Amino acid sequence: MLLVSALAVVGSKYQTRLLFTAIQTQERRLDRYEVEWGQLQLELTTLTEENRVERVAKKRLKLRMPDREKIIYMKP
Amino acid sequence: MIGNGHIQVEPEITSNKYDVRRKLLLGVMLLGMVLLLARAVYLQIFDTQFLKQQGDRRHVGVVSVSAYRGEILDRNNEPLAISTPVQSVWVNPKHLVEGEHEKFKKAAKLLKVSDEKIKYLLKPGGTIRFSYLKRRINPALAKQIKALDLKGVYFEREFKRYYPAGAVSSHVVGFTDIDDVGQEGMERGYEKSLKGIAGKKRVIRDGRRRVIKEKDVENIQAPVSGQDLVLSIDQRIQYLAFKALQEGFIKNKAFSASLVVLDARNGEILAAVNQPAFNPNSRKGMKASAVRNRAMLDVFEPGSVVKPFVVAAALDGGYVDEKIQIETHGFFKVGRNLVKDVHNYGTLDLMHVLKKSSNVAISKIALSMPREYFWDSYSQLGFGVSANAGFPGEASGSLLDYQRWHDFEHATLSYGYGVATSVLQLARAYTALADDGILHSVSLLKRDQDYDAKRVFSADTAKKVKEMLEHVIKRDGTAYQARVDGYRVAGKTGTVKKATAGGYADDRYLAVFVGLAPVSNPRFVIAVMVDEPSAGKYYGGLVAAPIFSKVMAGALRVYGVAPDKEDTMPVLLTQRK
Repeated sequence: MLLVSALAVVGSKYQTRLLFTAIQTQERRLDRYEVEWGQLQLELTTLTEENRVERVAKKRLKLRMPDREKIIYMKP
Repeated sequence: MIGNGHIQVEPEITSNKYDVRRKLLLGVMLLGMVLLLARAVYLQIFDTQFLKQQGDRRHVGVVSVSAYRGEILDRNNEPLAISTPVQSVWVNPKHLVEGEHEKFKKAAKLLKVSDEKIKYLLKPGGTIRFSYLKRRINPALAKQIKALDLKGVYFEREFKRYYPAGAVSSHVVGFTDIDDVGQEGMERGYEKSLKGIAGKKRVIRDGRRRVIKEKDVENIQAPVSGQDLVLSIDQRIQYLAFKALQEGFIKNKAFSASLVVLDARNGEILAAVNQPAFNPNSRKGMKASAVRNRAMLDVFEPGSVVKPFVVAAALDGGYVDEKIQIETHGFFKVGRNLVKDVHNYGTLDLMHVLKKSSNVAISKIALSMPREYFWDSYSQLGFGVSANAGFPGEASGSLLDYQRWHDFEHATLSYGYGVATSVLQLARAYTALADDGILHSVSLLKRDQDYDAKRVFSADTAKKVKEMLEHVIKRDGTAYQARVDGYRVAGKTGTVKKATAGGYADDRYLAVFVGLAPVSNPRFVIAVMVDEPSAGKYYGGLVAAPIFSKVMAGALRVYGVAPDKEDTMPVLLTQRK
């Protein structure tokens, strides 16, 4: 009886340690993803910044505001 | 008896002298042993915590884990301020290995640490145990330093605040300092909810008090992330406003300029911009004057833009008739003072009083109202009381108490002198004209409904005054440049002499314009103030109105508001040159 419970204790200790390492690895991964997410978010906001969008639209895509008389409004 | 005993005992002491000493010593030693034993038993059996604590104190430490600071978002969830995790590098020179000094110097060079500091850190016998090499470095650089694998160089995770919108929203959002504490703007105002709570982690240290890697014993307290803050700002309009204001600011060589866009239906602040502005991401050489959110913090005398409220108050109280004709002769004596107009406008009806912006006529209207009633109508519009938008340090402005008025103060108040407001307060007051007499409370936070709206004018009066203001934007009005093609626009100009020490300056002005559109169902209220335009033009209708027009046209387009002035569309074709 004593022997069994002693072995069980050792076993569960081992399990705990395994699980703890697993948690730690996952946490570290989560951390990495968080860093990446932050960077991607930054990249997205920098790329979609109004100033930049306007510049690209005007210069590269040669877009411009339509003249007033070219806009047709539809009444609902 | 005493004498007798004394004589008898004496020889006994001399004979047993050493015996007593021996016993005494033995007793003391025994007592010491017993005490020690008792203490040991006590520590081992009764108070087991003490020794454990002492041991832990030497090996277990508590490290704080920084919490993620909440984001600041605009109403469409576009980020205005976000935090990203970065590494900060610090060094304990005591832990540096002798043979790695060259490697350390290389790392320090990568981090752009000054030579003096490296020397200072490497000085033999130095007493420093902690020194930041560089805070908040980008992840790529951190990887490089980590690759060097130096003993004594440690990394700490911190958050760097980044403002994607840059200068555009700088005044509203504000910024944080190196320790991530809000210093200005909403970052400061909502510090508590943004900050989050730093967590604590228990770690085991080795004999040299270094944290044994990756062996967190337990999380005592998980860090609690700060709450996100959703502003009422619409970044698209904010950007439009920023561009237009900047352009006007430069063109008119002004001292400063501010602009506020309000949602006319619920008082949300859709944009608030100022010039000069600053870049919150790189604040080197930043001037304190550029940081001020002037639209909400600075007050000025609004001048003629308050005239519509005088007309509305007079109509509402029944002190003037709608069809009244007011004689102006170009000037009007009030007590010993003179109220003057730029020209003699002759006899004016109410609409032309506003269209021509006659000081004489508006003074006459104001003087027809009792002081208390007139004061109350201004006070109701929020003049002299903080607008309470949720921005730290908001100005409340001032409004002289009516008991201290004389007739001249009563008159000047009607054309905007003797009362001081911020641009925000002014815009807010105009919501009363825009939303059929209902004055809205303003908010910098997104909300669904305005629970603090209150009626200050009857719907009928507000509508009448609003329509009178439409004539200001006509070709012969004072603000033709405020027009927006396809939409009915109403507004009022103001050209205010700047108050200086000892009176009003004759050559320094504020150009003001406040307006709303579309008149049939107002969507936006925009207030513009340009301080000291010095490129020649200084009239509100020439300096502030064009900026208003640009921002209003853009905002109406962004929100897809249907035009309510369809007849200008064919007119527009004929206008084409």
